[in-house]
Amino acid sequence: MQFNSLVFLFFFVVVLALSASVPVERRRFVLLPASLLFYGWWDWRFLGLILFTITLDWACGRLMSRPGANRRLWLVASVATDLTVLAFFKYFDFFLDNAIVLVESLGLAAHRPTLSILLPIGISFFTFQSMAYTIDVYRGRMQPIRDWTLYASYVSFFPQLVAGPIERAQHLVPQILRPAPITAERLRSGFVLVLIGLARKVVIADTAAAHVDRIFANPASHSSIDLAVGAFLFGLQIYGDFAGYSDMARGLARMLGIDLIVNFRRPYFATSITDFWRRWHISLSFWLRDYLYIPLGGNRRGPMRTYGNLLATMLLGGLWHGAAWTFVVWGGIHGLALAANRAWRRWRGEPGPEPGWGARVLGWTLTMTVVGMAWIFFRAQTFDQAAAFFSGLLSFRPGIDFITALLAAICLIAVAAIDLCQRENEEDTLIRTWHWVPRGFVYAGLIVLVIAFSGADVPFIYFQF
Amino acid sequence: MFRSFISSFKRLLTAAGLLALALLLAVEFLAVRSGWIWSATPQSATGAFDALERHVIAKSARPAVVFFGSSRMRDAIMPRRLAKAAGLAPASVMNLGITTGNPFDAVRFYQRNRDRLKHSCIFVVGIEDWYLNGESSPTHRDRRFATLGERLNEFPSQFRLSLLAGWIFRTYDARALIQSFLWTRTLSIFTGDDPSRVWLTEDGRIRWRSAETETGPDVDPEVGATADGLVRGYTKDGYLFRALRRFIDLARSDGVRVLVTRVPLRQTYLDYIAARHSGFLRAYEAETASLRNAEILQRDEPSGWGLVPGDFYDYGHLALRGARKYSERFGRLLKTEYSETLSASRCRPTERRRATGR
Repeated sequence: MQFNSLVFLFFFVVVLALSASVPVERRRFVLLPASLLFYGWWDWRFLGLILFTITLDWACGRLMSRPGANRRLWLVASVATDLTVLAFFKYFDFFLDNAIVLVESLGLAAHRPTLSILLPIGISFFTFQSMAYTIDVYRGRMQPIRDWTLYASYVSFFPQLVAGPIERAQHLVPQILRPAPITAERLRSGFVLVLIGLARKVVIADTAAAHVDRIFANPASHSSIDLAVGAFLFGLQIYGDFAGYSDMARGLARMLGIDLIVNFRRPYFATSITDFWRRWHISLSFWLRDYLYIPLGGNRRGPMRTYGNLLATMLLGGLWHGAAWTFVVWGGIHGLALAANRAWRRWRGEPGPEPGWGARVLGWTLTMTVVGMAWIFFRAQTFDQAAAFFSGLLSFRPGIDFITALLAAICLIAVAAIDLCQRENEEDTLIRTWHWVPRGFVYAGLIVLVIAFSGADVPFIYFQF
Repeated sequence: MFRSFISSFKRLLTAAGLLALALLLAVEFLAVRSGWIWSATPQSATGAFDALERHVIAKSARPAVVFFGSSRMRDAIMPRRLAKAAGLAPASVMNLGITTGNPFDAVRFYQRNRDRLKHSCIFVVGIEDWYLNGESSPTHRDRRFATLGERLNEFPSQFRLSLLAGWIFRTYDARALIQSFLWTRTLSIFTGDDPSRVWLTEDGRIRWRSAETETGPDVDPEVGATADGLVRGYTKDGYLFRALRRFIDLARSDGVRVLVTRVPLRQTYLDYIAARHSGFLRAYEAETASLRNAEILQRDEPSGWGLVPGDFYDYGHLALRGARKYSERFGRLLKTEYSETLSASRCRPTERRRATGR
């Protein structure tokens, strides 16, 4: 049940009407079954898995709060079980394949067992969200939740269940307990956010996807400029896809009286890689910072350890995205860039003077080059494909595919226009301040565009993570 | 509580909202329900259906051999080259392969153009393993050319909601057309191309883009991903196989011999399917073998046609070099193995017309 499907439209209208029909403090009794239905719609067999994760972490949180409880034991039980489930469903094949390669490299014969493990949708997101809760309870930053339905509603809240934002319990649980009333204002602003998210996804990302797929399928048959355009288009595609999902999630939640955190803040306007990670998939970067980077020591143990921690965090962040070495390399590139940026800022002396225009442009160019190069590893399915892509890029093969270049230019203008229309805090859009005539044309135009481009039915990229 | 919810909705109807609604209704009635958008986009997959009827079928003599199928058939058969190899008159072979084409289209093509096509000798129907893919949805051609009753009866139940939505709100049914219209019009601003032009090859084939490639890469790294996407959601006796049976029965009732074949695929694709989707492959083979009233020409291994990896531009579409090889070899196959059928009097319409001075 994708957000851009008709089934979801009917589902949401019913959920919205039911949510509006019950007192706010009971809204979670509508949201919880709706969320479980939403998740079960993908594959009902995995309902048991999410209910297991929910119940386990809820129980561990409760057990931690008992007088004389061995808090560390329950934390380890919760985190270890969550990670085991994640490792089994997401990384089993990856580990097995690598083990077989290792065994064979030693000259031994290895037999691959036929075990087709399906990846439960959104497992990385809800596992991280649930794990964060038990860690926060352990750290004393969160009171354990007594009511199972409240905790289950928090972990399974359908607008953000399968692709985030990864919400903290401190932020979401009070809202689920007492959501805001459903008002015309909330419906209107939520609808506009959903519309913008749909435009990002179906108009920009899905259109770019067809061209990106073609270019990545055969890097050897494209000119260097076409390959550069392909990598650039993929950057726009994944942004449209993921930020589009986040906008839709926030819009849907807002209509239901709940405000989710902002997950993207115009990342392609970043002037450094550190700035980029403050704007891109914010909920994940903060999660990695709070639950991985800081526990590793953060920046408290000297510069070399800080660089090492940054690299380790991003390598694991890369692996979080997918069970493949290409994702690890993608994370590694970002980790190295973050370490280099850190070293640069240390050398320059922080906070340092405000950079001028020239420095900003240079910073932006460098950042986008690193981000764009890293996307090639992110998109490539194998190292050979990435190598063929880079070799084509550096071969300076002449020629340009005019249509793809034009499409890239149109996508860029569209992305920039949407980003600039969404205010810095992403809470509202500039469109809503316009005169009603241009506003009416923009709304109608966006609706027609979303309908016209909705035929491709391309799944959200981040659903696979 | 519910009343306040309704009143919230009423407050949503601002001036901008009403204007947007009026504009949407204008698109629905003036552009879509009037039929205008359907004919204004000849370069789309749906427009190509019209274009084949107008520019290929309507202008041709009665063909002896007609090819039906998907984009793989569209790219694989060069009618004139094949006709020459088969020893047939140049215009006696027709390729009606079409982007995302399927047997449902073939039935539509045949029913709409039966008077012209029923005098053919041989129909060659390209089939695909993804006909058993229960997730393959109705195309926009089906949405246009089939009635709502046919659509609801023929297509799997998971598409009913979408088919009903498209019947109520036709803009939804025409979405691919609107997209194509917007794109071709935008493109024409920069290229100066006439967006109403149809790309036709010299031998009367519809091209799907302005340029075709001579050769493809030796390796397609995305073969696995393509295969996984094509053959997911296995359904036994899928609606496309049912449509194929109906097509075969229709053709046979008109005395046309039907050959069912699969255009060769890149060897790595075949190997991948055999290794990763063996159940799907077995079901496809069983389904194909159960076809009655048609001859099965099961030669999809590229080596059997002298094809090398560079003859494909992706997992299974032939580039120009591959299409030339395949068309010539197919023509020779027809000449050697189907000469009796092709020498029948009904297969010589061109000569007959010449003899009678028409």
